[in-house]
Formats: sequence, C-alpha cells, structure tokens
Amino acid sequence: MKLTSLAAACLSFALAGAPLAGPLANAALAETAYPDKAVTIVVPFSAGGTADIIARMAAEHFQKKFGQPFVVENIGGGGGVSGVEKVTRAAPDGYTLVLASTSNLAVHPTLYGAKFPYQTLRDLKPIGQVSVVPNVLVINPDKIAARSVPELIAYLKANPDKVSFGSAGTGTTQNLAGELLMQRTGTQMVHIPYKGSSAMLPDLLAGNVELAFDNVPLLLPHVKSGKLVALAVATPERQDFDKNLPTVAETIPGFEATAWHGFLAPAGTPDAVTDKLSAELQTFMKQPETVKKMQELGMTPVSSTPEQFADLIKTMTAQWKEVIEKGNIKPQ
Amino acid sequence: MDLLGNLALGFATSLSLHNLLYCFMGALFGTLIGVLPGLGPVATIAMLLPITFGLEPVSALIMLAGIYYGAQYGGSTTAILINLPGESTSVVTAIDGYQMARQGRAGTALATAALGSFFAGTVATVFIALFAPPLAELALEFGPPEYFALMVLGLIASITLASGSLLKALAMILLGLLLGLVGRDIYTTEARFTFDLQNLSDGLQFVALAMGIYGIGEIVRNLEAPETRSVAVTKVGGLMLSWADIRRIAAPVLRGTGLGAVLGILPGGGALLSSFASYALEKKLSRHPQEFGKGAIEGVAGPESANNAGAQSSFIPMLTLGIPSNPVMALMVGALIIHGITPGPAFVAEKPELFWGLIASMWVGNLMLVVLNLPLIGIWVRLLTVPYNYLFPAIIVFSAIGVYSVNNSTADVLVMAGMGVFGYILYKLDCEPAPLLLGFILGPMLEENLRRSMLLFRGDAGQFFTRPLTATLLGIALVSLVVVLLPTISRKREVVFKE
Amino acid sequence: MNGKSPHGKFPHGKSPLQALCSQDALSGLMFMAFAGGFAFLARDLSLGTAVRMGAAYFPLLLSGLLGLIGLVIFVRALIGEGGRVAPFAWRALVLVVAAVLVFGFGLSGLGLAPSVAIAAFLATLASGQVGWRGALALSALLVVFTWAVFILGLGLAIPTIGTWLS
Repeated sequence: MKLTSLAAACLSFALAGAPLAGPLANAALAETAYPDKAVTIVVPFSAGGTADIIARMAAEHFQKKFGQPFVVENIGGGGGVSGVEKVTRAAPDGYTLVLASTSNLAVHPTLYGAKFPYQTLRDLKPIGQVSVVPNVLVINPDKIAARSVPELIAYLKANPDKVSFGSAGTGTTQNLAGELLMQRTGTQMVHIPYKGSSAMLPDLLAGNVELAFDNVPLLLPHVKSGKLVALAVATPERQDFDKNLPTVAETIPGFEATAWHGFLAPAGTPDAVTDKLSAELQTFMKQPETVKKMQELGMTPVSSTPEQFADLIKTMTAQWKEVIEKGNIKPQ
Repeated sequence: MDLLGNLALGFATSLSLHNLLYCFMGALFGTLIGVLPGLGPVATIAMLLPITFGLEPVSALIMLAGIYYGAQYGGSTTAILINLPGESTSVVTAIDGYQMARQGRAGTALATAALGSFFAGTVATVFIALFAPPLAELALEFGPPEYFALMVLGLIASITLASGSLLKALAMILLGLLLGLVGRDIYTTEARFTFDLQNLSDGLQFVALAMGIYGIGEIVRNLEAPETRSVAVTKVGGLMLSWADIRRIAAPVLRGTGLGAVLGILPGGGALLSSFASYALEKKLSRHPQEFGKGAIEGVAGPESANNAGAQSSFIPMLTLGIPSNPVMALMVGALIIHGITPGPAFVAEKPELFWGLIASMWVGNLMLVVLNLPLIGIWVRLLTVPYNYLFPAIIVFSAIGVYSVNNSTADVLVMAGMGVFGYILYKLDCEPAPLLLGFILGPMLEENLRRSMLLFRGDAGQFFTRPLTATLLGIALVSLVVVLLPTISRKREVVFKE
Repeated sequence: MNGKSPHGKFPHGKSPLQALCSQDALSGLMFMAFAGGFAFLARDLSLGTAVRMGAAYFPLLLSGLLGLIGLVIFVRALIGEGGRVAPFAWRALVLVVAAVLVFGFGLSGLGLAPSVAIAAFLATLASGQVGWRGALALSALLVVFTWAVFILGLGLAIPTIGTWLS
C-alpha cells in the first residue's frame, strides 16, 4: 500500500511537474546557443527520393528559423544502414541529425540480428515523426493482366516464381510489403533489389520487373499517365489522394505496409537541443504550406512529440519482427 | 510539333533580364568554384543549392543549370592545366589535355574544350527540343542486361585509354573494379572490404581516389624532376586555335556530340560512358594514334563535346520520366519538388514555360560559358607561370578542402593521402591510372546489373544473347576487343623490333 | 647478386634480383597481392550461386582474373624486358603526404586556418627549393585565401579555429 501511494505521489508530482517543464525548458532554450554552426541532416538514401524531399523542406525551414545552414547529406547504400550508422556514431551535440525511415528504425536491427551495428532506441534519440508515406501496389499493365488484388492473387498462384518484384533495397518496406503479400497469399515471386526507388522505376516502367510496392510521389505521375496501374494502397484506410483506390486490407485483412519518416539525433544529445528541434519541427509540420505540399506529394503529414515517435518505433519493430521471423527473411 | 512556338516561349522565359542574370551568375559561380581543384559539379551544386530556394522555379532551375555547366567546364580546366580531374568525365580530358598543357598548348586545349562544348551544347539543345519524349522511351529499352552489356563495352573501350602495356591496362581495370566494390553490398547488405571501418561502408569516394592518384601522385612526380616541370611553366603559347587545329577537331567534335547526345539519355551512367567512348573512337579512327596520350588535340575535342552533349541530354530522363541520371540531376529533381513541381510524363504539358524555358536556358547557359571563358583562358593559363614551387602547395590545400567538402568527411582526406602514395607507386611501376579510375566507376554498376540480370533471367544466362539489344552490344564489345587487341600487339612488336 | 650462382643468369644477362625488381615484375606482384588480398577479405562473405550471387561471388571472379593477369605480367617480366624502377623521391613524398595527413587529422580539431597553415608549410618545404620564410609567407597567403573563399564566400561547415585551440 505504501509503495503504491508513493508511486501515486511520484506520478502526481510528475504530472504536476509537466506543465512546469514547459517554461523551464523554454528558459533552457533561450540559454542554448544551439545551433551556432551548420547542422548536417543525414538522409540515408540517394537524392531525389521521398525522405530526401522532406529533409530538404525541413532543412529550409530550420535554416530560416535558426539562421544557420542545415545541410542535407545523402548517404545511400546498404538499404540506408550506412547513413544511420554514421549518425549513431556522430557526436551527440545536435549537429548531426538523421531523417530515417521505417526500414532503418524498425526493420534493420531485427533483420540483421546480433551483429547489426545499432539498436534504434539505444543509439538514437527520437525528435519527431514527420510523415506517413502510403505504399501503393502497382503493376506494369503490359505484363500482368490483373486489374484488382483478387485477380492478382489468382495470377500469382497460377504463375509461381514468374513475377519479379522490384524494391528500393533489401529490408525496405517496399521489400517487406512484397514478402508480406507472398506470405499472406501463399504465392512466390522473385525479389529484385535496387539502389533506391529512382533506380527501380525505369525497370518497372519498361516491364523488366512487373510489380512493386512503392511510394505515391514516385508512382503517381506514371499511374496518371497510364504506364502503371495502381491496384491498391497498403494502408489500413483508403487515402485522400484517391478515394476510389481500395486498400490491400480489403482483400487480405490486416495487411499494412506503410513507410514513415522521422527525425532523430544520436543518443545522449542534450534535451535542450532535441526539445528545441522538436518544438520547431512541430511548428513546421502544422504550417498550412507544409501540410499542403506534403499532401501534394502523396504523404500524410504527422506532427508528433518525441515520446509518441518512440512509441511508434517500438510498435512497428514488434510488428515487422513477426513478419521477418515468419517469413524467415534473412540476408541472402 | 510547334517547335518554333515552343522555343519562342522558352527563349521569352529565359531571356528575360533577371533570368539572364541568374544564368550568368550561375555559370560564373560554377566556373569559379569548379576551377578550384577537388570541387566538382556535385559539391558545387550542393553548396550553391540553398541560394536558389528563394527564387522563382524558372529562375532557380536556370541558375542551377548555369552552375552545372560552369562547374563542369571548371572541372575540365583543372584537368587540363594541372592534371586534376574533379569529376569522372574529366578523367579522359586530363589524359591529352594535360600533355598539351605541358607542351605549352594549354590555351589551345582550353579553347578547344570551350568551343567543342558550345557546339555540342547547341546541337544537343535542338536535339532535345525535337525529340525529348520519344528519346525518353528509348531510355526504357535499356534494362539490366543491356546496361551490363553497355558497361562491358565501356570497359573494353577504356583499355584504349592507356598507351602502354595492354596487360597492365587490363589488370588496372580489374583492380579498379574491385576497389569500386568496397562498401556495403546492396543485395545482401554485407559490408565488403571495409575492415569494419564505418567510413568505408559507403565505399571509397571517387574524388578522394582521383585527387590522390592524380593530384598528389603527380605533384611528387613533378618534384623529383625539376627540369621537365619547367617546360610546362615557361611556354604558355598561343591562346587560339589555328586553322590546322580546327580542321583536326571538326570531325571529333561532331562524333563526340552524336555519342554524347545519344548515350546521355540513359540514366544509368550513359553520359559518363560517352566521354571515354568518344576517346576510344577517336584513337581508333585517328591516322596518328601514337599521338594519343601525348597531347593529341582530338583527345580533348571529342570527349569534351561528348561530355557536354551528354550532360545536356541527361536532362531528358529527368524531365520526362522523373528519373535522375546522376547525383546532379537528383539534386535538380529535389529542387523542382521543393518548388512544387514533380517532373514526370505530364511535365511538358503542364508546365510548358518551365520545360521550354529550361531547354532554352541550356543553350543560353552554354553561350554564357563561352562568352565567360574565352576571355578567362588567358588568366587560367597565366596561372601556370606561377613558379611551381609556390603553386603546388596551393593545389594540395585546395584538393584537401575539396575532397573534404564533398561529404564533409576527414576520412576522405586520409584516403586521398593513401591514394597519393599508391598513385606514386603506380607511376614508378609504369601503370597508367586512367583505366583504374574508369573501372572504379563502372565496378558497382557492372556487378549490380549482372546480378540483377541473372535474377531476372532466373539463371538462364543464354538470354544475354537472345535479347536483340543486349546481343548487339555484346557483339560490338567483342569486335571492339579484337580491334583494340590487334593493332596494339602489332605496334608493340614494332617497338620491340626497333630496339 | 652479381650472377655468382650458376643458375642465376636470365636471358638478358640480369641477375635474378634485378629481374625481380623490374617495373613489370613488381607490378605483376602487386596485382597478385591485391588479388590475394581481396580474395582473402571475401572469405567470410556469402558466395551464393550464379543465379543468386552473394556478396563474394563477383569480387572472387575479379580477383581470380586479376591474379592470373598479374602472374602473366610477372612471368613475362622475368623472361623479358621489365623496365627499371627509378629511385623514389622520398623527401617530396613524405612531406607532401604528411601535409595531407596533418590536414585530414587536424581539420576538425584544429580548424581550417591552422590546418591549412601547417599543411601548406610542410608541402612548401617538399620541393627543397623554398626556405622557411617563403613557406611561412605562402602559408599565410593560403590561410587568408581559403578562409575568404570557403568560410566567408561559400559558408562551408568548417570551424576557422577548432575546438582544440579554443
């Protein structure tokens, strides 16, 4: 009883302290000289992709607000591992940030097991989520006759190992979405990884790979032009960019394979710095221009606190872990 | 096709006074930063990108295009004057351009590069204006097997970059390929040849490799022989082309332009291949192939034209398909998107003023470059009259800063130091570095496309020969190999007999 | 060394050591060493199959070819003309490389100005034809120039004076 009441007291104190923390934090902010030099935002993918676009938009905003250059640095390769790994080893001073995605944060540490160089929440400190990027299931209409998810499943069942699906790299959500589709439907396709989505696109348009899950911004112009056909979106609900497009989950209940992005700093970065960035990031995410621009690009803007982002990483890590173990997906 | 109307719209956009000014500023900044050794187009554009955020989309793109051309030309300038290729395409220019500079013909080489580039840029602009959408379709004909075949062809062509032993050139290509594989494997994500060093997981940086082998190696080599070095310094020579020069470069410029314009369309490294495809072609067609590697003007004219035409036509896949073909294009796609424009099939129809404005501004940018650079040639060449003892420490410092700035990585500077020692050893062992660098660039692409093809073929390698385009390319590669091998062997015999 | 052993003579009348130290023989050895090195480092990587190549497949293929060509170059050099290796310019090499290393190791800690100054000073001495006064003057000039261009002009993210000194 005593212990419980002590805990309750602590809890109430903590809750009472929460509003206080606001002004205190602000005072700390005023004292923090951060940033007094250029800040690097590492984007662990090649330039021109979705993460890169968000990073550049945010960098522009930060640069205006903080009066210091925010430099976007693209470190592609290894499915994004190289870039994130570099940030986990950077000085925890707030001058190296990373805009990482689902794969980096919730997939790789599970996928690669004990030898993997970082554990997301041990080595990185979340600042905030910025987006949900729905993956869309597209096919090359010249190669696959199916025009709906059930038709596709029937086609895949009739032609095991015939369809090649492209992805932005081993261990990306694009890759896992395809694996998930195979697992849930008991079908077999061949996975072809590329160095990022931009590199995969020409082969998808040309029909060298016939199917892919990928981001809306990349695919939408080609779906509009008719070169690709979108069958479904891999989010739980239908999306604003096309309310007529069904979800995969309508055919395969519970199917969800979205990508999301968020900013993180190396673990050990002072709270004053991450709070300052988090506050500014949330302001940026709520600006009408940001919301509009991100929707134009097929992303759902998200404004979240560091805690909410940490929770998301935890939940998603658990979810993908199950998929990876069930599918026995390992580096070939 | 209302070509004239479209171009009129384009020129109306790009020739407005403030856009002209942005174009000029872009070309000027690009050139000035690009002539600093170690600072290539990617680093330059990345550094100058923020300036363009505040501009209108049209102006921003026009300025970026100006920067791109300027930086490329600036890269060629350092390649010719001090044998420092700042990016992959100027590796080829450095071979004969630098030899020309050593013979006191730096001005001629620079003028050749400028005029060849301008001509190529003009032709390629018209080419894009006429054929952009159908050309984009052509790019899609190239799948992984075709790229693999093209890379093989490119590697064989790169043997001709060496003027000495054929076997050594082959070995250097292989070594380059292997060095290019350092880093994480994209298929299995295993770290290869990185010694568990984080800084190598991304692979060796091209600039660090090139600056080390060429820059540092070349400096040490110059320092050991003061007599030969003074030749380059004392003779500055004429700045302009003689009629004899123009007659010699006319055909190479035309062929280079054609090669560049066509290969530049391929997003997977086409523009890059065009410059050394042109060099290989000119060396084969030349009546005096023995001059190549020793200051043949054709070896500057062809590749420089190909390079610029390729740079131009690499806009096609970006603008019509939204596929960036190189890091610079990727930055430009980023810039477009930041300005609310998603490049893709609808781009031409939805934003005609931007599309045609950009195409017109390419030509304006090229014109700016000639106007800007022909007078500057005198100044660049005069730099060579600075006593070498005072010039080379500056080169070292700039190279180090340039290599650092590409990725803000001091590890790259250390790699450069190591590569400097390696480059000097290569010189001592009479191993020419150009094939190594090309192997280094092509290595990852070659492997990726080979593995991808085998997966797509489900292991049936015979399909390399049943796909018409792949089979044709591999056939050309085989013929080229024979053509490359035969005269080299017989010429070597001649040399042996003379001795 | 001077062909004392009865089997020591090669076709050109060179001693084995001379033949071994020719440009071509050494490059052959160098290529073989690289081939061996890459193959050795690839030992822990996945090999895969021709259809599903692992990380080691292609590098091993290349190493094999490189080793083979290296061997041919080496053997040809032993039986033919290999070219003599000219002596190394040690002073220039050491000072120039040291300049770059100092810059690389010092940049983040010392900052741009001191790194440039030291690197330029060391490099200038490499020629052996410029005294310390000239080297100092050149260093000062380069510090001012690089600061103006890269920090003032381009706003590169390098501190002028680094944390070790402040």
